[in-house]
Amino acid sequence: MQTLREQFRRELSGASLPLVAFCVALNLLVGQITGLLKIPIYLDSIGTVLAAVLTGPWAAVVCGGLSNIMAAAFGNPTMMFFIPPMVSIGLFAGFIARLGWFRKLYLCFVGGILQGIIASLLSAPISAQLFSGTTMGGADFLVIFFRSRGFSIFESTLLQGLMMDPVDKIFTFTAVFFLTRNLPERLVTRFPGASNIRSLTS
Amino acid sequence: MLFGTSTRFAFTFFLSACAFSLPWQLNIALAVFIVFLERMAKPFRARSSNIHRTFQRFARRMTLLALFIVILNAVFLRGDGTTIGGLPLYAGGLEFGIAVGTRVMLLSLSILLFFTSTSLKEFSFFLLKAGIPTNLVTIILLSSHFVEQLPSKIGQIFSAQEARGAPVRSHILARTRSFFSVLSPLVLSSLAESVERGTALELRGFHGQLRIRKNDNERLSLPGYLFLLLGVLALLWKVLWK
Repeated sequence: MQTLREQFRRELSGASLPLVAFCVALNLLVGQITGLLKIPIYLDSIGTVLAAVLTGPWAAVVCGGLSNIMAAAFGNPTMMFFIPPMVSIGLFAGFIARLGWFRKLYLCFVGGILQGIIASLLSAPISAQLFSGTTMGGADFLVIFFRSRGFSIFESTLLQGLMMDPVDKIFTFTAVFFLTRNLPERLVTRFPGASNIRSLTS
Repeated sequence: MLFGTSTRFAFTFFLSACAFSLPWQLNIALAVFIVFLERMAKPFRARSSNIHRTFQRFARRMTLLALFIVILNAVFLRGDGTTIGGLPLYAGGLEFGIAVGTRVMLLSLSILLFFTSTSLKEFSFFLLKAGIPTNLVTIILLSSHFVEQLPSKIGQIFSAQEARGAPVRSHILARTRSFFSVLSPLVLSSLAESVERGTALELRGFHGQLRIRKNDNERLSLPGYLFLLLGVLALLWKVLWK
């Protein structure tokens, strides 16, 4: 049984280190791809989930945390306060990847729904307490709509999260499933999470 | 150095604490002060004219967004009704919108002020001194390299797939499928690059175990301690007063 320190060291050494850096950049830049293709989805945690599958939960936690710090540095400062939901995405995706959920499409689907619920449960109190539901994003419209219907700030942010996050996470998890399924084995075996992927086990 | 990275970090903490604890009138005054600082005060000046323009653009965008949020809240949040310029606006919503809009604006500007006046190299050094492990700092530096490099790579892949006949401008389902034809080559090439970089790092003896020795050149200055103290007091006052 590896200690936490050993797991961190294993997941953040060798090829995993530049991979996590790439995943941080992917989280920040995936909006450029969805923008070019004009697809109305965020997918801003795709790098974290990819890191979770290819390396492990602790590397994904680092990836998620650093992504939000970098996002703040590159002009989206409110992201600094949403590190806990991003960290939860890394942890959850990493642990379900270890359980083999990324080998079956329907399990990725279920994982996406669960992840969406967890993320919205974690981000709603932050959004409500720190920003009163207003983070200057497109989702603010929904929060204001729910508030105008008589819901409290917390209820409004939670409802907004529960409406949007599961859909986004289903797309994210499914995208990572298809991405990792087609990766060449000789490349995947260089990463600690190689056994999480279908191509090696089937 | 009086206003080194650590002092600027303490100042950012102080401003963030103010955003949560001061009334909106003072938040607006502080936001204007930040814009003034970025323009006039040397330690807070942007590192390049390009970054300065980005900061100015962001400040303008945040002001417009804050105004937009104020109007939306005033229109939709029911409370005491009032009429401003012939528009049916709610006073409760207006007040709430102003408080939230100015808070988010001050918070965003204060964090951005720190990052526009601090290079990633300085930030990394600051993190190392704060005891953050070397491999985490290496990830920050490597990811900034990827952030610079990837946009042109994404553009190239997008153009190549379009030339090959991928339906990148078709209906939404086809465009969603095209997402993979852009993302897959990007991930594949970046994984190969990661393996190469990882091998290069290992061969150079990098194992993420290095720790920088704390030196006395960049200690938190007296104003830094003062900002930290004031920030904590502001937060305490907010919690106890509430």
